[in-house]
Amino acid sequence: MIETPDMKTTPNQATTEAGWEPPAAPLEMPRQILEADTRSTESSLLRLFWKRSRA
Amino acid sequence: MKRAAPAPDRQTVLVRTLAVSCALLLASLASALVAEAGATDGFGLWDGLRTLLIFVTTGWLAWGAMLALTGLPHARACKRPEIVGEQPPTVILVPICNEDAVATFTRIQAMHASATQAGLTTDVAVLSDTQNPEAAAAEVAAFDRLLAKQPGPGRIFYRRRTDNSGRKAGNIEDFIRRSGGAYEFAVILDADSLMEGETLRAMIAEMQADPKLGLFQTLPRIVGGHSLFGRAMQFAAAFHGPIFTRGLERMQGSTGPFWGHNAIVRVRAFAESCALPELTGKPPFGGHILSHDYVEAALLARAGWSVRVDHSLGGSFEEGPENVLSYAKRDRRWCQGNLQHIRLLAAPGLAPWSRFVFFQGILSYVVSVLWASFLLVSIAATVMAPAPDYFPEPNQLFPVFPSDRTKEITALAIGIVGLLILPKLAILVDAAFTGRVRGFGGTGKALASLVLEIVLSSLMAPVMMMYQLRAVLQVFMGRDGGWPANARGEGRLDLGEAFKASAWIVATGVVGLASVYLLSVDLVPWLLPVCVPMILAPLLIAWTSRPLTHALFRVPDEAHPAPVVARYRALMRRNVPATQAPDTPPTGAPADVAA
Repeated sequence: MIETPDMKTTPNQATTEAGWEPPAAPLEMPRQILEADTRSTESSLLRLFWKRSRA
Repeated sequence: MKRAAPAPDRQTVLVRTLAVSCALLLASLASALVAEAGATDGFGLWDGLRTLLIFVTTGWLAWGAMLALTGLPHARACKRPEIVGEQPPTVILVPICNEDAVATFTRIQAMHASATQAGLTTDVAVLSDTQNPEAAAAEVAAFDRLLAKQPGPGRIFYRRRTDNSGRKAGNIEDFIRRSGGAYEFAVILDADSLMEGETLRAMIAEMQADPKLGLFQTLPRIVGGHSLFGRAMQFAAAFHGPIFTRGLERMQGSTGPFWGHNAIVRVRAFAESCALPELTGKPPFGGHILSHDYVEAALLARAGWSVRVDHSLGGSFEEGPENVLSYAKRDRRWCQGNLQHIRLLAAPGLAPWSRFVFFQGILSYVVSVLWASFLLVSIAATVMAPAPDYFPEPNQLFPVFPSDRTKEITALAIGIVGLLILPKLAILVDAAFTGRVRGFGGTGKALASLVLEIVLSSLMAPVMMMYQLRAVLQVFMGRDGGWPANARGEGRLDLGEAFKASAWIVATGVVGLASVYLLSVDLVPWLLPVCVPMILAPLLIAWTSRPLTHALFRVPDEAHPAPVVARYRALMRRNVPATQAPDTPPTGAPADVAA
């Protein structure tokens, strides 16, 4: 069993394939920008509540 | 490469236009009735507010009815594609968080065996976000047992994050960032999901046949309901669900929904489009996106991928809440997630239908506030109405009695009830003609189940409205509901537990009814259908959590359980003592709703 700070994997003894970790095949995931225009469109009422929630 | 969101075809545009027009027309009729009734003594501010509120609330009901009516006409059966050549590499992702480890891994065992039987070679990755050390140890033990029992092609992985950033969406994202390049498709499940191997095969074939398809969503059927509440939900999902989903299919075009599980995604499309941002500010409106699935579907469509739901592909299952409190607990999380979408309504580049889906989600919760406001405004309008003037003209010999508008209000009430009931009756008639009722015990039993379901949902509606009202107000007041563990299988509640969780609803009902009695006794009969269920809330909550005979609310999966469900139950009987096996109703109350 191998443990890393954020990952814990147990060997799959049932497989006949070599290795047991999830395959290391990184894929890029560009974070989506959704907020660019949203804050300006929020109603003043919502912003009031929102400020309150941040307080 | 960035592509434009898929444009809807002419038929989709026509269906949407018709449905929206009909809903607006019915909402306008309801508003006209209320406005006419209010104008008897002069159209004032309260009447204006009441007219506006009934427009939105009735429009929402009418929209639901349109969804069902749109789904009623049958579609031509199409031949499903087959997997061509070598099966594309596919992984089944099971994100879990503080779940029942034995049940979760037993489901995986049943699904893996079913997939192998269907000739598939799929890996399974159990992605744990469990924080509780005991629950985590139970997961590792269950995983070890599964590996010892589960020969066959494909591999099974288990990994646990100690950093739970992004919750479920972040959990899946973490896997895709590390291992996504090894797979063409990923089936995303919940801990309570069960999928037939043949269904997985059909999903892979659909994805392979349409290179533009980014996500394919199945319609999961609820299984394992024991209580009156759970079985009523199970019946409604099985009986009405396919028709409503077919309506949705016709309206959405290629901008379909993602319900977060029992779906397959094209990993590359998901990776390039669906890494969610963390919204600025603190929860409930900031932070991680709670209802990530709707947003991911919208992002796929924004990137030009099509997203489809298919009501007709069977072999997809999930479990449902067993009592009102479990339902309310889940609904609190969904409420916060949907209201968070307010911030995304104007996000750049989204398809108009994606924005409309966000709007629908928001309205589905806000509508409870609007119904409650309508009741309050109606009371205010009646109480503050000027006293009738029987002699408006000087030297008038005979009194002029104000015209009675009871007819208009009665017509409105009948219309609203009709919007709720007629689509369900139409679905029953359709099921009787097509023979679909046989799976529900025949026409007689299906009718009896339907009538009981309508009565039950009418009784529960004011109680649900109050829980939703509280949830919406809590979110707008900035209270974060967090991400409590799912309340799967939580069952029977005693009267004390039910009272503890609903005393505030009882108090509201008593105070409301007493106030109306004192202010305007004529309104009391109109308020009884709302206030009486509120006063009886503890009884209703406890009563509906009791186990129910399987004679009523029968569903096709009971008479003929799907092989994967039968296999799961058989394995569970072997893996756990009889008292906890899946056919035995569990007990327990979700503490945080009761508190």
